[in-house]
Amino acid sequence: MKPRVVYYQISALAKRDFHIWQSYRTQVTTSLLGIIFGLVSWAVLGHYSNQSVPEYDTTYVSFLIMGILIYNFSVPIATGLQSKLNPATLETVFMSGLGRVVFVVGSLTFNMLFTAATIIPQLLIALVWFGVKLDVDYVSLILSVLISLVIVVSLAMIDLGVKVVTKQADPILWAIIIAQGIASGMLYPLQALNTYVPNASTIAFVIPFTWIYHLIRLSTLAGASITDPTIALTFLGAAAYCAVLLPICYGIMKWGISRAKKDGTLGWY
Amino acid sequence: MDYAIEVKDVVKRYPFARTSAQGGRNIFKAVLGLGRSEKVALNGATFHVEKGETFGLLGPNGAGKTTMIKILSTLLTFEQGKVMVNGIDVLRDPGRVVQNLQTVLTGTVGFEWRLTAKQSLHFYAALYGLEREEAEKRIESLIDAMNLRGYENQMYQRFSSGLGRRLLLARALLMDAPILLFDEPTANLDPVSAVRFRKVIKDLSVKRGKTVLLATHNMYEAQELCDHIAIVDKGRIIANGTPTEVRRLTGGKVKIEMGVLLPEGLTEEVFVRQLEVVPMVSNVTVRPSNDRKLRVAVEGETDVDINALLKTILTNGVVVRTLETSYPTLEDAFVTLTTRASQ
Repeated sequence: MKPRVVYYQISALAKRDFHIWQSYRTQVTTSLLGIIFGLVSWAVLGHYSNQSVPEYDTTYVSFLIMGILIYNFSVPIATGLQSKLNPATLETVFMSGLGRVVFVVGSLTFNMLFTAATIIPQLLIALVWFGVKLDVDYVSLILSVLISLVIVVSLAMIDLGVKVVTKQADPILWAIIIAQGIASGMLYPLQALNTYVPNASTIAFVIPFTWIYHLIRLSTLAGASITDPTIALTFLGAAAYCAVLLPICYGIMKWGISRAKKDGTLGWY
Repeated sequence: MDYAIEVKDVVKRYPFARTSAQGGRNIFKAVLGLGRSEKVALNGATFHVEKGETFGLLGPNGAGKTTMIKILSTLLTFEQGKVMVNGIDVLRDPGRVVQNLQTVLTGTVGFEWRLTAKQSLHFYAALYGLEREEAEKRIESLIDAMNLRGYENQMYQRFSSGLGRRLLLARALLMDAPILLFDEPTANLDPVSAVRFRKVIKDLSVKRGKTVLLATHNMYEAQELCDHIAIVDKGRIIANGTPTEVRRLTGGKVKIEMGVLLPEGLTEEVFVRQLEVVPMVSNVTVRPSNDRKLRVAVEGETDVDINALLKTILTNGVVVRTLETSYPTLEDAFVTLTTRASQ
């Protein structure tokens, strides 16, 4: 398919979601305020238990706020396909011959743009109000964001593949999100886990979100450059992780859609 | 011969999951496909649709019509058989199949409730890969052609069923595909909207040369629109042909009812005997009205020679005051065939 057609398709899916989103004006306001109030309450908590986090050469409040920003960016994208499995339109959308990957990426594009846009005011609050100190390496940051997007799109594919079959909760993504809350280092450094389980900080890298938290913190708080061999190795590890995760997740999505087509339940809810 | 649609020995079984008392399913069983039995939806269905014709797939509820439409639309896979659309295998190359056909599914599904009609059409135009300018041109012309002007900026949730169907058709025509599939095209429409919608479907075939396949249990609609029909029951095609051919399959009789005035000297018995010897007449019943007036009901084969019948009547000086003929309808044939199949 021509790249221009793929671009039209992705932007059409994003525009659709934008039109629907802006038609719920009150909900838009309340959800934006909710994000900001959530951030502020966590930041206040972080401020009162402030310690240094040597792993990223930063303070705990900076570590925590960055963790919350990453959560606010990545989790809504990973879980964003749920509302796109609309029984009224899914069959018609698939009848258009739209590719599975284009469907996933296009259906997540608005979510990505929206969450990225909401990060800006949150970041400003973090910088101005709570004195978060950033030390950004832009090359690392771009690579971190790209790897993070591959991971969250992969997780969204699992979500699609499972939900299109079960028509209810997706236990896989649910388990991954619960695990990231406990062991991905969103609220506390991974080393804290070693107190309870030996080598837990290494095992935690099995969870996809751990890579996202670690890479983005390295590139925004510690100013880590990929010219440093240790950092380059970390990025290579993340890329290898993606190279395994992406085809598995694509396979699960493909299986789910084929299974729904076999069962005749594609348009069911 | 190159058919627009060719369906050969198709078997489709649906897994039939046992649910809990609350109607829910165990999520792990759903993923692993456990605890399921199967229900046969299509059981060796075979038919073909020629290019440019309007073909009706008739059958009672649950006969397999929607399953067939969904298989053709690449929304369903099947276990056995072969389905080709314009010579393209639907299982092997679904991407090319959907470029050759468009489907209007039953009801008013297919649109986001909070998008306007125009936003929805632009959305689908982009999914079909239409260039922006071309899409804009087609959407404007379809809004006029489908009588949607004035409603194009209204949210879909405000649309009536009739408007919704017209918007569905506009969506289906965006791509200008050569084959159009309709599942119960006039279901839930009021009589006036239904008549208008049927006219649009007829024009698509007659004026624009589209191949149309419609799944319906509306016999009038099938008789009115279709060049060929197939009756499907319990997943099998039990009759196939033109509407007239299918009507004749059941051996239905033509009924000719007349009000006549007998001349002096011609008795009722003699008149009846003369009618009974007319070729293909199988039964004659007479009900006296008053004086020499009679109500006569003649039953015969569907190709009874009405001219010969009238000639016999008129040469005897009988005056025909009223005459009414009724042929077996498609509905009669449908009921007979499906009842026979279920026995």
